[in-house]
Amino acid sequence: MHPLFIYCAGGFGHEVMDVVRRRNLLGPIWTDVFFIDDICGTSQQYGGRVFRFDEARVWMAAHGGEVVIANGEPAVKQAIRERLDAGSMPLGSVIDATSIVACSAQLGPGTIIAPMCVISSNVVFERNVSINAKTIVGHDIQIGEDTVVSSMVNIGGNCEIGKGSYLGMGALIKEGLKIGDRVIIGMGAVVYNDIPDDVIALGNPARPIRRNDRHKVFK
Amino acid sequence: MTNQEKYDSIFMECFGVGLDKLNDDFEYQCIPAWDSVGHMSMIAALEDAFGIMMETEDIIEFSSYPVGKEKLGKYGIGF
Repeated sequence: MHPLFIYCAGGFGHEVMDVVRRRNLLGPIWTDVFFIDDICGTSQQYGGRVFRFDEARVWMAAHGGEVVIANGEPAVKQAIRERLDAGSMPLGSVIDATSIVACSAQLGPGTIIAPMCVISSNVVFERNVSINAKTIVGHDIQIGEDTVVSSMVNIGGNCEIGKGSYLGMGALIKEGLKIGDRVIIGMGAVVYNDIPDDVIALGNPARPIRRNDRHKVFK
Repeated sequence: MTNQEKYDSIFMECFGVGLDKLNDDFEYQCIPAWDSVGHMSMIAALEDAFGIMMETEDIIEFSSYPVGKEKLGKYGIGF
């Protein structure tokens, strides 16, 4: 057992804290669970102590532990991951007990899987991938680092999703497709064709609409 | 209805602006309504109105009210 830090104490951070608490009730994995947040002005959030980054780094150097990054912006996840790498603060993973993860799936460090997901056979996640509730990741799918998959997304088998991308709520991805790096797929989009790097694709059928210049999902 | 009137009416309807706002400075993200979702709706409306299917590059490069007219020119839409 070891301590866990949830980096970012916002809404997604609270969701991850819920997953952690439920998981710990089944059989403790983490001795202590804290937040790291440099923006929220309080020392307590959602029942958890909030550390500033430098405080957390010092604490972890003394006591050990690992970190998961609970932020829905791929670019922010990447920036935080690089910060943690520089501070030698290892990534951990948090997987909800109600999710099904195939034994053959290879999940990189920093994986977050929310409730009621299905992660199928031979799936490969690079590090720092987040999968939100009720999402289905079909067989043999590869997902690149820092990518965020929102809730109720269904990805057909053999798809390749790039790095730093965001798949919006309820998106449907036909099997065998390649979705590039730093792509935003809009909520409810139905993707029938490959999507190149650095675009925003929306609609049914999904079409690239704009370049993803700002690398920002949320307004 | 002329092509210009069709074009203008689509912009006004999609983005909730008056004709007086449609000038060379009217561009993507100049108002909240012209975000990526608004852009998609506008493109779909233009395609429907003019009976065309725009190429991806043209959709992505359609950055403003005047640029849009240039892009439509590629599809034989004159103003």
